[in-house]
Amino acid sequence: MVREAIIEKIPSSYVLMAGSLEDRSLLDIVTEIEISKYNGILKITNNSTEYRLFFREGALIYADNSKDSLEHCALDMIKNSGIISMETIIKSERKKNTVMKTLLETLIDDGKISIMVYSKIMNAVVRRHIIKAILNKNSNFIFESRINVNEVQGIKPVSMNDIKSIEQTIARYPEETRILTDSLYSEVISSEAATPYLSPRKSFIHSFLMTEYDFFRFFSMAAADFAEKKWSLKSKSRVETVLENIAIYSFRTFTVIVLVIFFYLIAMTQTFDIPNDNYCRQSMFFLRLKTIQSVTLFESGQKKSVKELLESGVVRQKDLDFSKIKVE
Amino acid sequence: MRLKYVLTVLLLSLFPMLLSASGKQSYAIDPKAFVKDIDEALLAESPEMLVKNATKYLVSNRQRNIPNCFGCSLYLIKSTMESDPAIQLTAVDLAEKFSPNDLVEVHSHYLMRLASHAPFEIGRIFSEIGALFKGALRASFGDALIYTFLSDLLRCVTISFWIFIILMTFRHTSLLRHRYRHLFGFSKFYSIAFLVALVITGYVLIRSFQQALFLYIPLIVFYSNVVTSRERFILNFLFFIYLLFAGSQILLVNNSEFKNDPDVAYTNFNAIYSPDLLDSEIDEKSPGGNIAKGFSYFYQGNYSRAVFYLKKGLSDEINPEIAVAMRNVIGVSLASYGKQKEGAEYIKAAYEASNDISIGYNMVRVLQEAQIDPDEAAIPPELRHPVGFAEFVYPFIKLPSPSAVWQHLCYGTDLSYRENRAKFLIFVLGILFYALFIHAITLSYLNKLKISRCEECGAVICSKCNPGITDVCAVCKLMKADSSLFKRGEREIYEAQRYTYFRRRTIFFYIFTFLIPGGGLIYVNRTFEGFTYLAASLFFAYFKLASPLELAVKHPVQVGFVAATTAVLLALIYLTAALRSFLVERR
Repeated sequence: MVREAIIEKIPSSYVLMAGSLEDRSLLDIVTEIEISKYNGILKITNNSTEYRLFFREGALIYADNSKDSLEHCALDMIKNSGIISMETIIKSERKKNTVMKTLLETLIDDGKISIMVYSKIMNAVVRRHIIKAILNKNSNFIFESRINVNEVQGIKPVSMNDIKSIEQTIARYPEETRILTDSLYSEVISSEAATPYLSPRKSFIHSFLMTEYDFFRFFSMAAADFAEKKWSLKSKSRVETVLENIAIYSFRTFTVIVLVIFFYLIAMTQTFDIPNDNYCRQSMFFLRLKTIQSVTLFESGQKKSVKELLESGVVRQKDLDFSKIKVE
Repeated sequence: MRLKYVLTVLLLSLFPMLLSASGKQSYAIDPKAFVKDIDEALLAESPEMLVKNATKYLVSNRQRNIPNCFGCSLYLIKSTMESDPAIQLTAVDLAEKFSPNDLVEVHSHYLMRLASHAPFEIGRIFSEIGALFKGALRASFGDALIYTFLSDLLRCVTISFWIFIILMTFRHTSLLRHRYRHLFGFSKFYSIAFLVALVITGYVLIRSFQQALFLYIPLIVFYSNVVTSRERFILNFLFFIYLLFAGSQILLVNNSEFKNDPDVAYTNFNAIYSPDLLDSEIDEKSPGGNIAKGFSYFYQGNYSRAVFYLKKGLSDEINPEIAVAMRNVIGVSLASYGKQKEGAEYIKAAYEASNDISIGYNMVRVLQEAQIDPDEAAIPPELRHPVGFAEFVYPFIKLPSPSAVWQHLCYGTDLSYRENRAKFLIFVLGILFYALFIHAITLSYLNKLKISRCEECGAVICSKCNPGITDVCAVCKLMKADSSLFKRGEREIYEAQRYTYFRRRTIFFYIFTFLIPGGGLIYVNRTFEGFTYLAASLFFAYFKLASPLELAVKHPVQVGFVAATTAVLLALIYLTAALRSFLVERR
């Protein structure tokens, strides 16, 4: 949606450049576009995804991919970064239908996401696409010329220096860069002394959103420190994962078994039943009545029946009910 | 030769008469004579005469080793209800001597009379309180008594719990409401529907002390993350106390009606403890009949027949406490007709099972009589040179607790006690598991949800709704930074909110102070102090001293006395709590 809004569609287009990234680096292509001050789209295609870099008068102003819209990617980042709670998202999700707005708009309107954070997220998404495009070394590229490409509000153009620096980072730390681009939402394990720009126990992208750095700068620093093992991402080895899963499922199985036993005891047995007060107190009331009878006999030499005791008011009907003695 | 026949016929005709004597109280105190002598003394209004007239019966009982005369004790109490204090106290003292250990009513009356007529006899009062508790635990209806006691205690805990929950609800309304809304994703429909379901479930569950725990646990877990640590401590304390008492009730429950005929059981019981109340024949074939007959013959002095029946009784499966008493009596009986060595063996077995030094003295005495060498009899070392033997009065007859005997006579070798223990264990473990489960759900669902109040204005600060904000809310921060940003009227609303938060003397404070003893203190965060007043007042309101004993002979003064004492105590607690609330609130 956003992409469609920013490109002024023209009836025809023509290809200015094409080839493979194996033969020509992305930096070269971008440099040529910048020098020639072209307007157009650089499409980098591998088997599954096409990355599109948008240029306006030679400046790289925007990037996306063929699979997900920018809005979708931004929302995904908002949901997984941990900057707002899941409950807030659910609440806004419910609200969006009544106000006829998108979830992102609802979140912004409600002040859950500030414009500044939203802009930062959009910039991060665009730059992530650029990094991914650079990482696709075996891809083919094609540059299509356009009459005009509009700027997107809130997204800063990517300078040539930025592209240079990120390409250098990728060249120096290819594996780390790949890991980081795929693990933006993983929890950071670090000490504040070693990596002051990273927030421990928060997602990588959350840490970025809390800083003032540009995404490429932040990413380059993080990749370098990651390679030097100054920080790490919370991940588990396969054995750890298997053991954790075994522990979780054992506990769940145990819980289910105990719950079944528990409900069986409640429903099918008398374990949690109301104790019969009458049985419990029967002895007390029986002995009391019999003692009253015995004392009367001791005193007067005449045994009084229960009926007589009841009539004389010495015992109450309640006592008789509890003692289960029948009136003769 | 003729004389021989005549004697044989005479002896044969006497034999059935001797046998029938076992079931009647001919060997016990004659009630008619006793009543006449006591009435005579009461007419003369002379405590000395009362003592003199009663003493001969006491001596007679002691000589026959008869442990109690329940009839004598109860008559002495009943007939002196309206007498002078001196006669009342003398009579109750004599009543205690007639039934020293096995009639709990005597101690209850003694305590009441001391409290009414000799309140400064502190030592005696305390000694009677001890005897009352001991007697209540040993009483034939001990289980029922403890069950009743626990029921009252559980009612106290229940009321305390609900009062505390109500107070907490008023103290932390906004926090609880916010947490509750989180629980249902801020859906009004589900939160109201759940509340209705909770009330209905609560109505069903609350009818049983045991089942009510299923309702209390979620409430405690829900409140625990909102209230202060002291309040949480009290909530958990009440939960554990409740669990313990409700579980203990299960241990005491008789799962069925009497298994044996209770009338027969009552006859057999009296034959063992108080033969004066025997009014029918003992049936030796009835459950516990052999034991009753054995003791009955022992009191009559017919030792050989006592041994015969008690040995028969021992062959049944019986409580170890009863077996100890029976072996001791068998030993003493055997020794009395020349079988000291065999008697010593029985007494030794009883001593080893009970470790009662007085039973050990019985054995020493029997061995001394038979001039048996202590080494030969393998007497335990502690009995070789016994310290208190000089004052020992032979024979020492140890009776089992009436509770054990009554249980045996009514339920026989019923295994319900074992069943109850298993139920108790399942109940406690089940409840603890349920509590753990609810805690786990809460942790998983409301994971790390921290709700607190803003220190400046009391507004709710939620770790999920207001991430990153601690101690002071955003509004207060903004107010400090630039109060001109607020629109007209907003500032007033903010200040009113602040005032309400810091104001301690609210309408609820007055209501709780005047309605609930200690309620005001709990409301102004003096949790422990307030709860102490609340618990004390409930305790005194529920426990009407000796009233749960359900006595056969009721003291007319008792009701008024207990009511007055309770009222005074309650008034004192209430006034102290109210006074303290206002003093604390003024600081």
